[in-house]
Amino acid sequence: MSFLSSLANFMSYLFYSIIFVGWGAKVLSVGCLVFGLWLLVRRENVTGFLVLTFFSFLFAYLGGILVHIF
Amino acid sequence: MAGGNQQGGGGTVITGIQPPQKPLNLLNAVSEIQLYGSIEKDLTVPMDKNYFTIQNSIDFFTVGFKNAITHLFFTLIFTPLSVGVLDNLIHVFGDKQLTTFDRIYALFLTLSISIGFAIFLSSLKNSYVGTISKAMIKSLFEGLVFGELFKVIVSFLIYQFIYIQMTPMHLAKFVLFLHKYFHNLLDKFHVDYSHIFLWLVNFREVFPLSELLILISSMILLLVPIINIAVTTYMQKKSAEI
Repeated sequence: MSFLSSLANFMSYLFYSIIFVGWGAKVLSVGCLVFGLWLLVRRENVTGFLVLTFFSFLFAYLGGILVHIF
Repeated sequence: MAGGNQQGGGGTVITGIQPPQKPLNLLNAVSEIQLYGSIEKDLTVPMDKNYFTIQNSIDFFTVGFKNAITHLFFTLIFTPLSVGVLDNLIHVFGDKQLTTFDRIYALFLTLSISIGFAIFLSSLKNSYVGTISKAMIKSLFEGLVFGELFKVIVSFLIYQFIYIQMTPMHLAKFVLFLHKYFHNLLDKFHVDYSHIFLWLVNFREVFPLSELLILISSMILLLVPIINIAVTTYMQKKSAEI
């Protein structure tokens, strides 16, 4: 049980403090956008570009929404 | 699509050409234009413009129009968020202290779809050569222009409607509604209702600027490839004269 609660704490730390907030979110958002643009221009993959742009928006704005809520 | 061609002494002789196929999406349309562009580049005698039928013209127009419309929902949601970041109402990346990078990035993110498609459509600059490929590009861009115009008008109407409806009186009613029906949930997060009201009143001001941003993004999407194609055609004409 303590292992599971430690895992849950670690996961919430990982998602809340690294992936959606701060530098982690910046790197992921910029990375998704740059990779999406590369896919569109070099590989002519329109769907890939739109999906990655959506993820870029998600990483950029979800952190702000989470900070507002919690 | 070309069935086959033979290289003669003076130029290429086309032995069998099928009319352009119906494009399903933008990628299909661009590929078809590139194909016809590469065929027409080697021709000494221009192809008959009737190969590109009215039905083909409508198909390319529809693809261009649909492409502009599919981004409407995406644009409507994310443009006010981006302007909210610029007005310091939304914390991008969860940071309460916004840097210059955050503001520029939020703006770029909103314009990224238009910039991406503008660069993608600019790849047609080398295909604007023969009668058929020129007609294809013109039909596609006519569809894009009408689609973008429709997008700008619809977003303008929706944002104006929201702006007019978001009066302090209506917002106060909305906050009272939240307090009445969701106070059990919101009190857990120690929500300050006056803070919500003030935030909504300030957020109302992002809608007029969002309309302007959508107009700018539409202009980027249309003008960048059109200027690119025009400049390339002009340069090719100049070099041919020399």
